[in-house]
Amino acid sequence: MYRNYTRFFRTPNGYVSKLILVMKLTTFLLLISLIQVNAASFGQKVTLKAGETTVNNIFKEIRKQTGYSVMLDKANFKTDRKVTANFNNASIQMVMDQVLEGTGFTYVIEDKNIIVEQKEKSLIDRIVDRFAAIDVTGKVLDSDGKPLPGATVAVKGTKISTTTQNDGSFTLKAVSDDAVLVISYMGFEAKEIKAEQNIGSIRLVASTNPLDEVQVIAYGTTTRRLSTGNTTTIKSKDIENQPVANPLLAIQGRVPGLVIIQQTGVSGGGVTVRIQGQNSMQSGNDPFFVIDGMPIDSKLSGLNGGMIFSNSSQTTEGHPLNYLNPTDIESIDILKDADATAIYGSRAANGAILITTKKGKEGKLSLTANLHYGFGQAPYNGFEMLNTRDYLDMRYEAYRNDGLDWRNTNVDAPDLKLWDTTRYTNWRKELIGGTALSQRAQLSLSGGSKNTQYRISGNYNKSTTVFPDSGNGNPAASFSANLNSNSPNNRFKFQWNTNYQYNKNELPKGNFLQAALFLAPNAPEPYNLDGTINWAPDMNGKSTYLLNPFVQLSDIYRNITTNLVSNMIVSYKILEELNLQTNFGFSNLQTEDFVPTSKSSVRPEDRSSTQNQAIYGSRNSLSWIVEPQINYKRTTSIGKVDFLIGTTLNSSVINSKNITGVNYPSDELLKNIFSAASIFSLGSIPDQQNKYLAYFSRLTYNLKDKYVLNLTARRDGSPRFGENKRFSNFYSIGGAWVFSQEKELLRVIPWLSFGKLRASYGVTGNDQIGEYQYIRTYRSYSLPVPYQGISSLQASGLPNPDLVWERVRKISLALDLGFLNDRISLSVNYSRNSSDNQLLSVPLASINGFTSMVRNLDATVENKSFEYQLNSVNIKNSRLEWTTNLNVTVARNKLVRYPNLEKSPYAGIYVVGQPIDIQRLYRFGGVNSSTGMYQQLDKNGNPTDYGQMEDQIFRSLATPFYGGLQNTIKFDNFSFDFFIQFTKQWGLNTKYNNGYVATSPGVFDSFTGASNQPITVLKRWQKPGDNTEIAKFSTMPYNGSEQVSYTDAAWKDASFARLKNLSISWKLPSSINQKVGVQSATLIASGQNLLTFTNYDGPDPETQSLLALPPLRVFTLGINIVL
Amino acid sequence: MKNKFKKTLNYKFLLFLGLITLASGCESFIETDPPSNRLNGLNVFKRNETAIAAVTELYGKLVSGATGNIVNNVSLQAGLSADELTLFNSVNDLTHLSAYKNNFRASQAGTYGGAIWTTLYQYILSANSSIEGLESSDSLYPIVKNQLLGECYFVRSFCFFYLTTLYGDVPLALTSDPNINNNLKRSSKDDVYSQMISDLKLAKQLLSSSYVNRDMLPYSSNAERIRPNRGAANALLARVYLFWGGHDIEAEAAATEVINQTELYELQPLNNVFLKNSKEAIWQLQPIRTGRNTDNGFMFILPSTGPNATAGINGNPVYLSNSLLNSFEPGDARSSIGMWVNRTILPNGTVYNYPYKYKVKAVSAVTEYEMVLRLGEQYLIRAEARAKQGNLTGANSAASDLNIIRARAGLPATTATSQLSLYEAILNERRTELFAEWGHRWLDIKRSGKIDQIMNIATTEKLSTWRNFQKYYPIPFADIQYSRALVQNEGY
Repeated sequence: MYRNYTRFFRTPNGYVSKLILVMKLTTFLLLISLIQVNAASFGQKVTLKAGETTVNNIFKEIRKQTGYSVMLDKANFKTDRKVTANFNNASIQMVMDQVLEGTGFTYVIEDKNIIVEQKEKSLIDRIVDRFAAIDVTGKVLDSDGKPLPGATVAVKGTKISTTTQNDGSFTLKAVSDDAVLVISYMGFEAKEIKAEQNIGSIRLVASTNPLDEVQVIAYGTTTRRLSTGNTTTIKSKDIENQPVANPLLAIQGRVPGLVIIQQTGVSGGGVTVRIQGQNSMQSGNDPFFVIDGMPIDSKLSGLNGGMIFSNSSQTTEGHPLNYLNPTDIESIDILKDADATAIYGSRAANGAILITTKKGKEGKLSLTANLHYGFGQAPYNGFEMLNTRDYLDMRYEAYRNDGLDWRNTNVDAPDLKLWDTTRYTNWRKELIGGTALSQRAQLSLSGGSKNTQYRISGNYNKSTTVFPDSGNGNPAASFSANLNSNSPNNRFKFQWNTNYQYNKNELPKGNFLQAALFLAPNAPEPYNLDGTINWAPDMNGKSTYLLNPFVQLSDIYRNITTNLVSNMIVSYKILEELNLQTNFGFSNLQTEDFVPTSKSSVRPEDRSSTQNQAIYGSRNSLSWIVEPQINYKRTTSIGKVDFLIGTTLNSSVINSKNITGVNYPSDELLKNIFSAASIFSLGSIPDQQNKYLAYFSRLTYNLKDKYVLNLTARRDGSPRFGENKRFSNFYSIGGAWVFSQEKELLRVIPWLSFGKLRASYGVTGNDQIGEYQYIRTYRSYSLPVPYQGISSLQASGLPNPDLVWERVRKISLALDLGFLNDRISLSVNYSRNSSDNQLLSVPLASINGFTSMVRNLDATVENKSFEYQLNSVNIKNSRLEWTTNLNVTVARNKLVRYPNLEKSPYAGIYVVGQPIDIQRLYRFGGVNSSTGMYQQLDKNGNPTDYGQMEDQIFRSLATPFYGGLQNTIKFDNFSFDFFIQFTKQWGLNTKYNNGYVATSPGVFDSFTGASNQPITVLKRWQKPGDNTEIAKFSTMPYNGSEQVSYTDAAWKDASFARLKNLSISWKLPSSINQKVGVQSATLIASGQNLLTFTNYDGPDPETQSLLALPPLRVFTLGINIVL
Repeated sequence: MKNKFKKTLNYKFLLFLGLITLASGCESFIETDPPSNRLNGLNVFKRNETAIAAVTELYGKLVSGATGNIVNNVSLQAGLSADELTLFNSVNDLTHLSAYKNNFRASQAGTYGGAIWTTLYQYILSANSSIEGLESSDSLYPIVKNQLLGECYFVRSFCFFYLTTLYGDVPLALTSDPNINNNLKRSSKDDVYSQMISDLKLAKQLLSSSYVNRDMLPYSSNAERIRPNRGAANALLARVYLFWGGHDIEAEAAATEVINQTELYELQPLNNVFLKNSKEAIWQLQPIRTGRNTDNGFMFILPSTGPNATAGINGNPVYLSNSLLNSFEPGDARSSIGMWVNRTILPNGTVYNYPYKYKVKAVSAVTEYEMVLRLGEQYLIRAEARAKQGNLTGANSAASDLNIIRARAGLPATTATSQLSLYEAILNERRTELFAEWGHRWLDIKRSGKIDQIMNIATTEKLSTWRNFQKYYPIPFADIQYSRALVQNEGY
């Protein structure tokens, strides 16, 4: 230690220091001789001849014979130690000296008490210690025998410590031979061991304490114990047993501060992801997604007008994570505050989601097989439609109300006149009442030596839809591989990861949902006897069955997507403290769309004047990244320093093609573009090229695992801005105080096992406005027949050369506590994100030629949230373990500042002090009891036909309160796990606002045919004097009913609690395993979206749309075998 | 020890140096290439081909559009608003319905009737951007630059004509700068007409006298009349002067200039008028869809099942009103079945008469173009201008011009002789000659001052009520919301 000390301060290693040492020694020796003069004797004698006896007996004997009591600290001094007692008239001092010899304890005699206490080492002892000090060497390994470089080896009770080398070895010089070493390493249980000259290898066991689980952060890892940022980690065990195609759906509700909304139950559909609310009024609120260091697109804008499933059952964007196999994921880390994300600069203004795939493990080849079989159905929470009787009555009543006789020849009412009024079909059952089957098979193998490990996994997955047999469903196959290697001296390291997925999705082109709910219940048989589509022509040959849903089966939309994400990390340790590393990543997402419009899907009378056509779309998104980094790590007696500097070069190009073929000789030939009589390009999606350059650095300083300071800085360049506005600087500062490391504090509150205060502040930016907004560009204006044979050019929009970055300032304060040896842990996180310089596509009057233009708006949006997370091990014994995890988020989004809002284009949209997604509503005035028409309230609260907008009633779709509750119970080989997701929110009231899916009650829409209504319409107005909540039936479309959708009645509490997942698994006992010859086998039964508790009366409170298929209720059975 | 430390330091120093060098070399990394599918606006007007491509977009846009082209939109919407078209009773498209019932409205819920406004201003922006680009360019052939500039001024004026006739006072957007445009107030009708006149005068100077091909050079043979030329500028000038009122001398002069170009323009037999490049055409638009000729023909020509409620460009929502059919004089060839009127009779006996000026519904081979300006209208413009000046009968008079049109329709010469009766006769002739074309009837009854009288009868037939403010369509609610200077038309 002395040497270390002097070396650190660079004192000359020469004679001077030695001379000083000798002088000190001399002084010590002189002092000792003075102190050794000791107390006089008391003259009390003890006689005891007992041979081998315990210290306790001797002390009893002393008391008996002399009356002197021995007082001691039983916790430290062991009285059952055996000593040889052979005293003859010996003095108390003699006896005590002999008994205490070599124990490190001494005694004092006060009155008639002998007080035994720990010996304060005399100076001479210490000197002797110093000369008796030994050099300790050893090696720190994990339980698999892999070396743990960088582990801390400290001498207990001192400041002496060192860290292990790359091979796990360490040397501690001049340690006293009775010292105790404490070996600790992040993610492992610390171990104490007595110092010896050569300890050999010390194996550390991975910590089961969740505080020590590895958290993946930007360019590194940390633990919950030491992190300064707000990060939540979800491990594979919570992901792999959930029957979902998109891994994001597996973490729904499990992460405080994270809202995930599934837009549709159709497989491959879109998912909305928001971390800590909506920061940007418009310009991209998606978080930054990274798979093993490779950034991927946050959304999948498809073809056909930007929506990948636009011609399918619901208009939705796809999501790139639909193309990553959830069972290949090791962990998902959600980075929320500035401390965790500022190093990603502009890209993580909305937080980041880091996905780490499974890696190979050292050991002999192990083969894991997973087989799952499942089935799913669309749940409808008591949302019922009229039956034929009620439907017909509604129609007749509507005509009566309008003063019309439906029998008149000029009344167009095929449902009453032409269709069989005795028929009844439950169209919902017919069209979306099917069972979606899913099968999944996965095989993975992993293993490796000390220096090289690998994992390879293959997965096949097929799911069908709840729609009538329409296509081949959604087969997907994926492949994932990982290879790690390091040189024997551990200086050179290499890691390679590849994930590839092929996904094919075939769906009917049109929307079954509209017909499933709103098709008249007496609509005719979909097919004629000869198997052709029934158009139910009237006597003039005009088709009347226009919403015949089975027409859609003649046009099957097809989407084929392949996704490759691959990266390689190469590192070389130049010096013990200095590591060079580069991450090379590559990703390629290819999508092929096929959207046919066959002639047979057109009603017969129009066929002569229409042409069959097909759209062939393809989208190729290709990106690469190179991130060279230098990492300097050093542990000294005054703390650990970890310094990182690096740069990011990232390029991505999205090429899209959209080609339409028109006029094919036959519908059968639609798949072949060369059969088209004419072909032209729609070119609706511009190619996008984005490049990205950044420099980043981070400095982490850790003092005794008690104080941690984290500074990050990043300089980002984005080509989305004009030349002088491209670069911007982002930074964060974060700190943590692990106050449970303060010994004094723990003495006061011993039940507190962990306590940490965290705070961070930082600035990130946002540039998600799309490319080339700062300059006027022209693109091809393509027409089926070019005008005058000239391929023309059109302006792409209104340019704005003054655009600058949107900025998000994030403050985060948090308290992390662990009680009862961390069996209970609680985290409370407060965050405030304020975002200004809002980048908006500002609406303009159409007299500008374009109705919007991207601008920076001087407005500030604030998101405040409290996140609570409670983890508790309720019961833990050798057979039974019960754990509970609860997370709750209370969030508030607010527009806090918008100067001159009332004069801006947003005067009618935003309100200062309200969330940015508010709807401003009229007050509903009920139904006029004399006319049966809807009314609104005026400013004075009196009912009128046309109300006045009031700045009083606002509704927001944001979720102010949400969370999840998970319980896991393990009993012997059984494991039982259930997860409940809960959300408080407003939703669209289906009673008054059907989202224009159908017309108002009483109308038969001869174009869409959507005429049935939910049973709630039965509470309608019938005659003057009726007080009802539903207006009178009428055959007039839009008879004021659309007015209701602008009132508060169109909104309803849509809060819900959902049993999101329930799974039971049983590990086969080892006796059976041995018989069958497997290492382990587990049977798993699991259910997804099993129950929903809600007052919401629409089909589903999450999607809230009548056109969206609710998330399916899925049951699966599976087996997992490890060979 | 010391040496090693020094060595470490050197290592680090070199590494940092290396990284910084690497990084500074990278600043240019984020220079993205111009997008593969886009041209930098600065370059578009440097080359003849791209400049032509940019201006040609205007015509493509005039005939395309998801809900039909501007010809359809104006012909249909203004036709429904007046008394010449009847809406099929199953149609519940709110724009069609409110056009027909003359109950347009503009509110948060939506503006019905504002679509034409929005579309026309899109064309105006394109024209303005091109004018700015062309004027700042000095590398184009003068012949190309002049023709393109002339076209832009012409189209801008053409758009303002429909804006002001349909919406009243309108903002004069003359640049592409949103900072200026978004703060524009509505200019008075006089200002708008002055602007149109000055644009058209400029266009007249700049445009080629003959029709030009895709290289902006006169056609050597088989001229396509699908780009405006000097004749088109004159024809529109004549119409604008006439509509402005008080400029009858100028209107007559401009129309005469067109009519006198007899080698280029000549009245055609009724069933040849709407053929592509017919000699009656002053300016036509080439259809751009496959599988059909004009959108107008596709919309008006009813299938054997009669009208339908299909939305968008495949719909057949209207047929001719009885009021229009009754306005034809006996013996008018135009109203004979198979001439400019045709009919569908359903098996139950219901008869639907429809406009049959365009005769092709769904055939790929293109024989018809959308007619925008034609000679027949010029005769009627001159007749009216002459009538207003008191040149009533005799050679080269209002009556002689009117009779040219009547003669083609197989009608005897007009019996009107007084100024008022001639004016009436011309107005009636415009109704029967120009029906279902560009909403002429709607514009005419507005400027004739007879709108209330005519519409009170018409709305009774349409089962609605007439309110005078409905003579102008509402401007989009969003424009009121997003512009600080615009005010809604009275009554909405």
